[in-house]
Amino acid sequence: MATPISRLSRAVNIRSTKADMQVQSSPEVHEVIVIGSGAAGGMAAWNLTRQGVNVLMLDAGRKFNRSEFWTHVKPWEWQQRLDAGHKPPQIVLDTAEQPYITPLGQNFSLTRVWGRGGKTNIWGRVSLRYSDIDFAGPERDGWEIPWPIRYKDIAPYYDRVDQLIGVCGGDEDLDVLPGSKYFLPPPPLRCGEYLIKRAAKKIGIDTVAIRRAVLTEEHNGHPKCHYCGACGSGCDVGAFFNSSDYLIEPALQTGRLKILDNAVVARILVGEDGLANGVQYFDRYSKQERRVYAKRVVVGASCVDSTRILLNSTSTKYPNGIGNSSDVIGRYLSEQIRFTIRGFAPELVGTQVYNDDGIGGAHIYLPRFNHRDGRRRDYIRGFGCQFWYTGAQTDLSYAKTLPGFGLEFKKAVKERYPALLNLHPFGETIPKAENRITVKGSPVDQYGVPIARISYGIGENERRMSKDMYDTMLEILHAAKAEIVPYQPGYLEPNGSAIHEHGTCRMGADPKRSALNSFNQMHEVKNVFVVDGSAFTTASEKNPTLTILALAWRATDYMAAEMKRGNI
Amino acid sequence: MSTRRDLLRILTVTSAALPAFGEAGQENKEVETQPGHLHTGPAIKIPEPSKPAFFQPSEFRTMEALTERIIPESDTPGAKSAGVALLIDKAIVADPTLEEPFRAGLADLNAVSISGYGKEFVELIEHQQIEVLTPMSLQPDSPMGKFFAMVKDMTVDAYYRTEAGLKHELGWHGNTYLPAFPGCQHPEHES
Repeated sequence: MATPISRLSRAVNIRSTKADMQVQSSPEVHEVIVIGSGAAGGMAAWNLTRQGVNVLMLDAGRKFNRSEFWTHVKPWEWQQRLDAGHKPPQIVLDTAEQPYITPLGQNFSLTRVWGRGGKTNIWGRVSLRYSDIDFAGPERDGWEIPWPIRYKDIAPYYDRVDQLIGVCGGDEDLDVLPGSKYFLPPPPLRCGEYLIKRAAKKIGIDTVAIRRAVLTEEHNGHPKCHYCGACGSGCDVGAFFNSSDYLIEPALQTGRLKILDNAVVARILVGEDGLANGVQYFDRYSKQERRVYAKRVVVGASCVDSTRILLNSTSTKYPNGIGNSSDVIGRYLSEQIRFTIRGFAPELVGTQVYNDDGIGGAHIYLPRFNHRDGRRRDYIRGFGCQFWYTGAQTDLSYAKTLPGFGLEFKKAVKERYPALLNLHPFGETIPKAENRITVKGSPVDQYGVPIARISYGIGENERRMSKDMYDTMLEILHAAKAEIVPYQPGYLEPNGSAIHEHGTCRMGADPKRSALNSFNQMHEVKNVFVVDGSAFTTASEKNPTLTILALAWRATDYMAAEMKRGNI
Repeated sequence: MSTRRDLLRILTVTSAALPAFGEAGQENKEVETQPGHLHTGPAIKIPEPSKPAFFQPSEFRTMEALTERIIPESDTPGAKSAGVALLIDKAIVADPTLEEPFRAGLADLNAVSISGYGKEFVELIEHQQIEVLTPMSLQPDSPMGKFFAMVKDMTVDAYYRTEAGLKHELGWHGNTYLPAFPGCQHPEHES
């Protein structure tokens, strides 16, 4: 997904026309500027405004109109609509509009959303609490710095987030996956999920009810899910958490939130006292440069864009980027390793086809178990498994692996259709200094601002873990007596495609080895808080959004209290 | 997105107009419980099926015959009436690197048909067409095998996204409003 050079040079050309434009700045000094409107920025704005703080939010896009989502456009209707000249709403940012670069042979598949709510408009919604198995991982195995918090620090915020956004789940409460008193009822299982559960149990691995931010009951005024399964196109009724409807709309109702749309932030501005005092941004379309000022800045533009902003915020005081004397910002980029392996459950071959859409995504989850079964392993950290697309789905790619053609082929495809078991494990990648985002020497974007260069690869630990992941998945499929769909042994999905970037502005107790303290506050610049995935010390094998919400809530509670105490 | 296929729902070819076929599978009734919300996409005027933009008329007829042999009509539509050849035409227009392999592959297919039976592929009777295709299907690494595999993959992609393939053949009846999700209906699996 490296960016074609022609696009970059076009961006460079645009820059030369900009010198004539006059910078517009508003003299008002805001209490707090929040950069970004996704899970991180939305939570910051919601929690600060409800505590009486006035917030100016900068969003690189604008509000999406839910009624325009193609949620209920059936697969065959997509082409009809395109032929009729319609287009689905552009939710995912086009790389041509905002490029990034990667070293040759080191592709990184980056997904960004510029617009109100960010990626929460189309997120996977899996909502798993981190546990002390995650938070204390670095102490246990000695790899890289420890998290500055433990489960007890964040647990009350997980409780609050569950209650606020609505997460369905079961009553399991595990060492690796703490439970919640506030789950909405979990959805019933699909047939294939019962069979996976049974097969995993046979080899000593327990699965649990999925925990997903989908409303299985009406919740806080938001309607319940209608089981169309098309969450990835955006929910037309807002039946799963999205930052726009669940956080930003209520924040607007307080009268204390102002939002600047289409404001693409370039840099955080620094005063003579070394504190942040505002933000430089460009209008997404007019490309006009503007500045706004504030006493405090919260950064929540998602891992890669937040990091790019911080690294581009150079000054005499911070030649290496704001708050980056430690040189950790941009480093330790951690994503997750994943693959899919599939099989057909013999019990289900040739059976009645049901509507298996459910809440969109699996209704069971296989939590990490490798710390528990007594087996010695040749790698550190662990993996869990999700089961997206088990049952009757619209992805028929398995048909390409069946031999032959004609009536026999058509029959073979059909009888396997209800029987698909889809195993999709996620493994932690460990933080490494050389996996990093840089801006120095990068080409510039259409606003004249250096773009992100993402240099990322996996190493021996991930390769060893992926072998164990494959072995475990095959063991489950064999226990299910499944016919295994041909696969490429050892294949991993492209780096970045989990869309779980973490670690490039990490929390830690030691200011020499981390950028943020335990409240997401910069060690070096006390009035800057970074509240998205970049703040994570490690990646874990879990989906990060629930933890981003909990950490952003906790960070802004602390921030509001520090403001009251007059400390920032 | 993988997630993430969910998140990055890739647009592949889908069908144009289709003949009406009876309902298959067990339909869940769509219910309107949210006033003003129809749970359908915005109404559009469905355009007339377009003419192929890449295939010559004779090539198009060959493609219809070839895709129909891969997924033939049974008690449900085959690839030809599902409009698969036209959808592959659209895919080729979207990816011009496919032009040459298709132009050459279809010419080679006719050359093989003529050398075996003295006629072009479309003029062969069904079992002759099957005899022409069988060695290609069994030898996926041969030049003609590669062409056949490409056409088969694209036929699968196209056919199973049409209403004929996904709904009438397979019985998919998802992406619809349900008041409740019942879960597995086979009691023997719920343990």
